[in-house]
Amino acid sequence: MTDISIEQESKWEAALYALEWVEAILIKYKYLLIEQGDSNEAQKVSIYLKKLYSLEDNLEISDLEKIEEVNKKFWQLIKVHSEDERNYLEKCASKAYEVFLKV
Amino acid sequence: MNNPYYLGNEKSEKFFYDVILPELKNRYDFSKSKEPTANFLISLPDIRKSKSLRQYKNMPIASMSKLRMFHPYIEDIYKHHRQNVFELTKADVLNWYQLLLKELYAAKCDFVVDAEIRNKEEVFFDLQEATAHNYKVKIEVLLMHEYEALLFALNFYATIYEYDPTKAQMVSQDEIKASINEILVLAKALS
Repeated sequence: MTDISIEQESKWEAALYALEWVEAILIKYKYLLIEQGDSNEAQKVSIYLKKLYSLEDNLEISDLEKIEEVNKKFWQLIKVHSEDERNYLEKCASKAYEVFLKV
Repeated sequence: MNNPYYLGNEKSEKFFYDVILPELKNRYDFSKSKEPTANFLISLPDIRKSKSLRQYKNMPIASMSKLRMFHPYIEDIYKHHRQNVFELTKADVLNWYQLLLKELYAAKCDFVVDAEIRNKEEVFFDLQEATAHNYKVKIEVLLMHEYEALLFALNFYATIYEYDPTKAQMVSQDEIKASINEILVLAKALS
C-alpha cells in the first residue's frame, strides 16, 4: 500500500464518517418531529435519510470528487446545540438536504 | 466525574427503543438467519474498517462509535468537552450497545461486531455471549503495519481537522504500538 492510497482511503473514511454524523442528526430530527406529531415532515426526512444511506453505501473510494465535496461541506453543518433543540436540528437538516442531495 | 449529559437508565432506554432501534431496523436487515452468525471485526483504535464492513451489506452493525453519534448531546459534548467525549457518553452508549445485542440475539439475525482491541475484555465477553446464544462466530482481525496505522490515523484526523478543529484528536504512537502488540497476541492465540 502506498502513501497516496492511505491518504485516499482515510479521506474516504472521513467522508463516510461525515455522512454517518449527518444521518444521526436527521434521525434525531425525524423522531423529534414524530414526537411533536409532524408526520408529514417526518416522512420527508425519512426519504432524505434513504437517499443518504444510498449515498453512503455507494460512495466508492475512487470517487475523489464526491469524497472531497462531502468532506468540505459536512463540517459546516455541525455546530453547538442551541437552546431550542428543534430549531437546531431543523437548521442542520435543511442544510443537510441542500448540501448532500447535490453531492 | 459529575456528568450532566448522562441520560439516566430510563431515558436512555426510551431513547434506544423510540429512536435508535426503529431506525436501525429501517436501515438494516434484522430477519432471522438459518445459521445465525456473529462476525467480529477486530482492529486498532481509530482505524476505521469501512472496506471490510462493505462485505456485510445490510447486516446490522453493533458498534459503540456508531451508537455514540446518536447521543442527543453529542455535538455539544464535542464542542465543550472534546477530551472527555468517551467518558461523558460511555454509560449511555454501553447501555445502547447491550440493548442492541439483546435485540440482535432475540431476532436471531446475522450481525457484525465492530470491535477494538483496546477493549479486549469486552471483546472476549461478547465472543462468549455469542457462543452462549448458539451463534456461529467468525473473527476477522485487521492487521496493519505500525507505520501504515499511524499514517492512516494522521490522515484521517488531518482531513477532519481541516474542516473543524474542534473535532481534531490524535492517537499517540504509543497507543498504536500497544494495540499492535495486543493484536499480534490475539492473532497468535487464534491461529
